[in-house]
Amino acid sequence: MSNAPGFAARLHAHRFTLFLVAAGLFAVPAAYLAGHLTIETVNMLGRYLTFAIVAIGLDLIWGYTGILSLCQALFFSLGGYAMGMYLAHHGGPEGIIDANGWKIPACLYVVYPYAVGEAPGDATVPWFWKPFFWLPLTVALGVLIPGLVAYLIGYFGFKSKVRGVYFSILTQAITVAFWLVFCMNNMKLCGTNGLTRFATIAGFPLTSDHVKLGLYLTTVVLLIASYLLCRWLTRSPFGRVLVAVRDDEKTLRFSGYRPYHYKAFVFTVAGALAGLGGMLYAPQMGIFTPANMAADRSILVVIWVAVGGRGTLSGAVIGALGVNLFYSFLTTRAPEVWPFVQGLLFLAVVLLMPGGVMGLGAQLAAAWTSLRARWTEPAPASLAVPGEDQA
Amino acid sequence: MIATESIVTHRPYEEDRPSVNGLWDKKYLLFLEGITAVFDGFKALDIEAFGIGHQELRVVIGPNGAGKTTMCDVISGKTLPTTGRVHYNSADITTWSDTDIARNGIGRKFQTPTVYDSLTAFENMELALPGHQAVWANLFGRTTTSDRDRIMALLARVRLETCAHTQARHLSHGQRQWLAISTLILSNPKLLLIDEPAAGLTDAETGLTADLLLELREKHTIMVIEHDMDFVRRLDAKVTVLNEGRILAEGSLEEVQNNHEVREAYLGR
Amino acid sequence: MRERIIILLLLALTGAATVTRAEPAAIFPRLLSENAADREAALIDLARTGDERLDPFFEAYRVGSVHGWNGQLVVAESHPGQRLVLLDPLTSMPLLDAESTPVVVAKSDLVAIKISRNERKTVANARSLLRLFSPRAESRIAGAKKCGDPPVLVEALGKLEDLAANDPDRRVRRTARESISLIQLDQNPPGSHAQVEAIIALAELRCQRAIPRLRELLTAELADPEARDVLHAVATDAIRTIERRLFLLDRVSSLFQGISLGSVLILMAMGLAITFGLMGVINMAHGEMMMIGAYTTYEMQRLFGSLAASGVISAAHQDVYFWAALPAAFLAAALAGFLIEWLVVRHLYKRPLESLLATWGLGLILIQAVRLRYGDNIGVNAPAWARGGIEILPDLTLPYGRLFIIGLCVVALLALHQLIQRSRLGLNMRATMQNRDMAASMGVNTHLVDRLTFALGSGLAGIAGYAWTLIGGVTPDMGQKNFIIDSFLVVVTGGVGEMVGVICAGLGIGILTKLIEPLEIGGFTFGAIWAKVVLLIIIVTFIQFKPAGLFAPKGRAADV
Repeated sequence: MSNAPGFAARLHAHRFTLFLVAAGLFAVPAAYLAGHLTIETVNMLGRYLTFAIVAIGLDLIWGYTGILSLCQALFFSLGGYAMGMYLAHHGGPEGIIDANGWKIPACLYVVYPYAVGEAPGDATVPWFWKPFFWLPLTVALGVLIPGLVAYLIGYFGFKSKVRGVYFSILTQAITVAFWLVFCMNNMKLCGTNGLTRFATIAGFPLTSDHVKLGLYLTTVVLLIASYLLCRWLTRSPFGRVLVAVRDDEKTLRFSGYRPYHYKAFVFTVAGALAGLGGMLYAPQMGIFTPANMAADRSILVVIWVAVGGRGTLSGAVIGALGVNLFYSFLTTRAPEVWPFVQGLLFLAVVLLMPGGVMGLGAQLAAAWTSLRARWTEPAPASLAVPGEDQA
Repeated sequence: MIATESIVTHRPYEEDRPSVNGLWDKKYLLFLEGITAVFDGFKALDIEAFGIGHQELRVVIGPNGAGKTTMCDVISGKTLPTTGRVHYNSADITTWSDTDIARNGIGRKFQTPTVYDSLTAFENMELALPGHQAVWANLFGRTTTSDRDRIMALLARVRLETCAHTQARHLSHGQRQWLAISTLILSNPKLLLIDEPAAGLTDAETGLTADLLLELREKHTIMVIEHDMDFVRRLDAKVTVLNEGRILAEGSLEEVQNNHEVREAYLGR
Repeated sequence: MRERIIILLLLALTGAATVTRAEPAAIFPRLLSENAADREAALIDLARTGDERLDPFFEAYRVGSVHGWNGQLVVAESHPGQRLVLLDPLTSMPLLDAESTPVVVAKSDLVAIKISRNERKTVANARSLLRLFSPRAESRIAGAKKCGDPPVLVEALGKLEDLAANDPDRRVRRTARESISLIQLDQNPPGSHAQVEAIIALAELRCQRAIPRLRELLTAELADPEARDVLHAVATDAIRTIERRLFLLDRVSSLFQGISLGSVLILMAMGLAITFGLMGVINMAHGEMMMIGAYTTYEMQRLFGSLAASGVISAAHQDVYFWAALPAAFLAAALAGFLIEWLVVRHLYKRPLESLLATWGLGLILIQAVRLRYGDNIGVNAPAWARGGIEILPDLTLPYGRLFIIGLCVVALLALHQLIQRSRLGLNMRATMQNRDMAASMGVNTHLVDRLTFALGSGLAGIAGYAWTLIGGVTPDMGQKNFIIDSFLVVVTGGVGEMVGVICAGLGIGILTKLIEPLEIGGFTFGAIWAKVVLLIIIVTFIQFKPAGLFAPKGRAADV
């Protein structure tokens, strides 16, 4: 038995990963270096690929486990705020050195909520900003905090057997609550202005083209890593249990499983992935506002996955990229049309294309097969009712 | 054998009730005592005493709405009874969760065969392997060769070995029934609750199912709920008749069929 | 200064005793006097005549438009060409000369009245005093109130006592009593017996206005320590008594607001419970049904407005639009719901997650369509009768608008109950919900029933939107922003498909929200946002213990 068929088969099994490596790590940078793509396009791709990381997480919990989470944007934002606070610490020069020797981040200084009787010299850096001064700690927290919040939501939600739609509504409500709080200026998180006035990351200037390219490449690498992680999860016995949870959770309990352990686990993983995406997004966008955790942003993630094809991790990536590229294209030409298109996308995906783009192939193939069967079948006997044998 | 006239008035379990008899578990694996289940004012179950002995095959029959499935629900922990206790394997399991009950050896096949449509028959079986329910085991464990052989053997028994890698959604109704029973057998429970195993099966398939259950009786305790009287006859087991939540009669199938109260219940007033 | 006040007081009292209702015209000439004190006395006397026409006159006097002309008192108004036209001080009509043309003079022909700063104060006081004599109760109340506010108008004491004893309106009597006590509080030396008596009277009256001044007294320096302690004790006690009442009233007001908010929530949630409980469909566009109801109300207002403008109906009848808008809002939203069901929802029964996404998309389309047509914010004016309210207690007014909403909710729920329990359609709805196939085999057109059920739920949301125009703003995303999630939380908390549960949950959530909002713990006031957060935590915790809601449907069929 030679190695060749085995090797080829393995390559085929990993075809999407190879596609990501080829396109993301080689084709795009090459095109940029050759001058066919501007750095703005590379930056845009980088940002959209951070969305893809979020989408992969959602596909893990929705496509495979059947949990429709409407709060992924919240976890995205928690990670984004973590990185944003780090960037703000090392950002613009405005702002004083406070009484404890910390320099106040520029964006906080300009909207600082002074208490009655306080003067501009009285501003201090709040305690919860301080850990985000150091990059390694920020990176760790940017994944741990969303993960922890996700775990808490998942644990309490799933343990109490809140199922299906109720859980989705609950996640929406939680997102709105967080959004309201983050928008308040006296929380000392810069309110609706968000975190801005970024300048450098780890000493590298954010405005430099090289740094932008570097951030893009980092995003691609982490995307591939996330994809591989989720792929491993879904193909292990663990993945089987997830599918069983989606198909028939009640029965699973009668086989002695505790589904809520599994659900909480994947929910945490998805939350951490979303946080990772947020952390990569903040430096590439240059600003991070509470608008990123508004209710409609979470639902948008669902549409990316639905359009791409839920239950197929590659579909999540394709959907996220595709929908956002379309959005970018449309809003530069006819911005007021976008909500209509968005709404129609929702309707189309649910009513016409439940399998999304990746499933489109199968859907068309099935339609073609049944059509062909109808044509080649002998003329129906008089007793048969036409149209009865639809797929 | 119990005389026909005394079926209705005889209260067969009186001396064996766990609240009275500390040695009840020598005779019975499962005992229901004083169980009532009331939903919104409607009394679905009202069982004074009911027991199944070790390695016994018991069949429960009754008209629609008699409470048979509710009884299974109460035993398997899906529903909490309004009053009463469920005793199993020397323990009082009335308030246990369904997961705990399942892990302690009560396996259940539901009325509609519960298989996971998106998984293959083989994968369905893999999920039922006992002792593999923890998260970490599933992340890092793999199915052993002996487990694999066991699965294939069971699938062969129900003629599903060729469909082992077909998605369950593509199996016929009868095949799904067998798959459901096989997953149950694989998890090696002490007590099997099988709700309507013959539903929707052809005559040949029904025969095969009866043979399967008879084989199982040697090592497991089984409670079967059924409507198909031919099937019940093949099983040749003690029959309990349920009606409007109460036990109406108990005995062999012939005795029970000759009981005039049972006939009234089935044929209506 | 004090002497002048006492003199004026004596004059006022004597004036009140002797000259009860003099004619303003007789008093006017005294204003031409060179002596400021005379003028001030004249102003007070003028006020005491009670002639309402003097109010603009006082204003004119204050700004210096009043002059003397040929021995007459006139008001001068500017006229083109650096000239001035003369008006009668009382009637404000132009003075006419022999040829009946308005008299126009140059500035030099007039004698100006130089008004001192004191006089200006007196003019203000005179106006307050004047109001005490007004035939309208509202004016008397306002006047009485002003007399008691700093700087107090001592001259008014006589009239205030008269009002306190004899005025037919209860509110006037109360305000007068308050002001009398407030004046006594102010005028008497700190710690004196009279002042203490005034404080006690104010406490009894539960007078809110007294609190700042009572607080000042707490820090007053008195020679006699015993008197100071007495004063301190009495003042503290009074403050506590008054504040307790205010606190209570505030809570009642919050409760009332909570009930009216809860009513809107119930209307919204009822519609959702019907569609979700009966049909297993999540309608995220439900908030947009509410929006349609609100915008329909706006259109009705515009329609009636244009009808009034073109003379088809009289302007007084313009407010009838509000009654016409009720069925219109219901029908518009119901029609929209009907269409949505027919086009989209009927493909998605028993698929709650898919229907969630699809209806969300519909909602986006609707919002954008409305935004393009109407812009981002429009105002719906409440009809005239809805502004104002019933004053059931002094300091506690229940707005008519909110009362209307509560009443509307009750009526709607009763109608709904009748419809579902008693009517043929309701019977069909219940049959289809419980066993679709059986109902269909009995000849019920289940598709039509589904459509009508959905329309009914949407219509209820439309009514909620109509009601909302009385208390909130109308924007394209109002449904999404404010209500959709809250309504779902109400449905989840109350138990799906259980009407009683929805009512309890809706009221509970509305009341809790409004009670938490003004709550203060250690200097931290909750406010609207934290109230929402706290409420969410409460609901999530509640769901832990009762995941199927307050009134969970029991039994086997209950698995969602």
